[in-house]
Amino acid sequence: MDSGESSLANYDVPDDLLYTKEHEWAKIISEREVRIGITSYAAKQLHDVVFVELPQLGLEVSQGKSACIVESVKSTSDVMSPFSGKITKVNDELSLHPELVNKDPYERGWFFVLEPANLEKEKGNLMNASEYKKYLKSLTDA
Amino acid sequence: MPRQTQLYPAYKDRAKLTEFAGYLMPLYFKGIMEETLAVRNAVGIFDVSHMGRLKIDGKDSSKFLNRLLTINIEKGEQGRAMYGFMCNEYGGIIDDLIAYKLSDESYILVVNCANREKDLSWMKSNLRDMNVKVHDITDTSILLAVQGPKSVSILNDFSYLKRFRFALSKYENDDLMVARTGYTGEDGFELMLQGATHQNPEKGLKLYSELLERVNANGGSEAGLGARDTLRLEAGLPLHGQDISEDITPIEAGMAKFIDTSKEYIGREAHMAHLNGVKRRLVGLVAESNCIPRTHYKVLLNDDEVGIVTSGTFSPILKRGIAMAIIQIDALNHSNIFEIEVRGKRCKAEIHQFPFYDAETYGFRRKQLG
Repeated sequence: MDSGESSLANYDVPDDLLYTKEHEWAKIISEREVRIGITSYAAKQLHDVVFVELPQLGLEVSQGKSACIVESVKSTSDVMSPFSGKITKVNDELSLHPELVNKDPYERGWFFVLEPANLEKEKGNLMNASEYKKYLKSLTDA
Repeated sequence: MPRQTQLYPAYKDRAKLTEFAGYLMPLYFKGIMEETLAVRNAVGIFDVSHMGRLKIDGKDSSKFLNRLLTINIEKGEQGRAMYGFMCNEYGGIIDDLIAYKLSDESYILVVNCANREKDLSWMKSNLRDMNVKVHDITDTSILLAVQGPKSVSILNDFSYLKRFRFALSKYENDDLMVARTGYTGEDGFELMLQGATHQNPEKGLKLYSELLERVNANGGSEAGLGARDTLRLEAGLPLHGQDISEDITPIEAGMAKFIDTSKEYIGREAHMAHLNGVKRRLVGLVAESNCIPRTHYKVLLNDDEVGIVTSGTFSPILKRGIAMAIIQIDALNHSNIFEIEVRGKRCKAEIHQFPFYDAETYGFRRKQLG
């Protein structure tokens, strides 16, 4: 471990979410509503998020494919959708306050809501909280 | 395995590290935005020991450098730090550098990290029969930058130095060169301490921690390469390997004031031709809000590709995306508003003078802090 920052204790991993290897989270609110954002690990890696290009309402996105863009001072990153489906809501607050992604990645820093096309089947491709914690540990121990 | 500077142990536990030109360097400590603003508003300290340091000694040193560099090194007096270019026969920029004149027979050149080996072999191949020795002193010295409006309170003893002048001093019996130079657009100093090696870095580490204490006491911050890049871009200072290269001349880069065609030097003929007119130019662009230009993005005018972004970032001072771009002269003569292609979409960007910030509010020319 080369710096205090890689300590796993610094990353919040809520129990009630599903996770991707690209560090997005998904919260299943109902069968027709899944909220999506990036994890505290991703937010810390990006640091200083300065702009989020949100997807258009109605856009059809695919699991594992880019749904929108997040920009920090020095880099541009894709946000991969954890589920396939249609975008039904976007977090407009991020246009004025992109820093919410860093400050509150699991609540006010959410990106979009989609209506999943294949919820049950695609769930199997995601990690639960304890699996994601193990995955983070494998990354930070490397 | 990436190399480390002699100062690496001083900050490695506090820094988010990144590999840059073969060195493991701090990208940031607290954050790029915060460190950029700390330097603009107060003061920041950077380890820049990855930069190459070459010592030129011998009777023919001035003659040798005058042939290699675009500036007239013989005109400058002792104690001057001179910014200039080393060019190839076609006028392309091998490197940009600062030459510190210790005497007519002795100079220190600070060159870009990534170009150090290339510069050395170019110099050696141009030695001919001149009485000149070139020594690489990068691994036996350290280089620190203390930058920002409050840097003068930290290096009070050197407040008499004018910009681009330096003094030779001592730090616990070791030679210390203090120069009023930098790469941020702000007032500031660069300090070179001799004798700090990887085996014996102690004095370098001590100097770093003493300066850091004073930086912190002045409301400043340690700063990494992320802030350094943002600061230099806001100031309109080019980065070799991105904005300038062997494929571009100083005239195309808009930096003709750092060439002196009244003397002989390698690349002069090509530069004379370019002084009569160039086909493209390096310019600054400010993007519309919510658009951040990045390196290699295309610049368009009326659907035609007329240029390319060479560096881009979000500017913490302007709160906008800013960029350097190389654009065709014909297009520049027609318009000062262009489009940048960002992931298949287009955003507007307007030509802007360097520096990007208001020079009365920020930078070394600013009016006194309010």
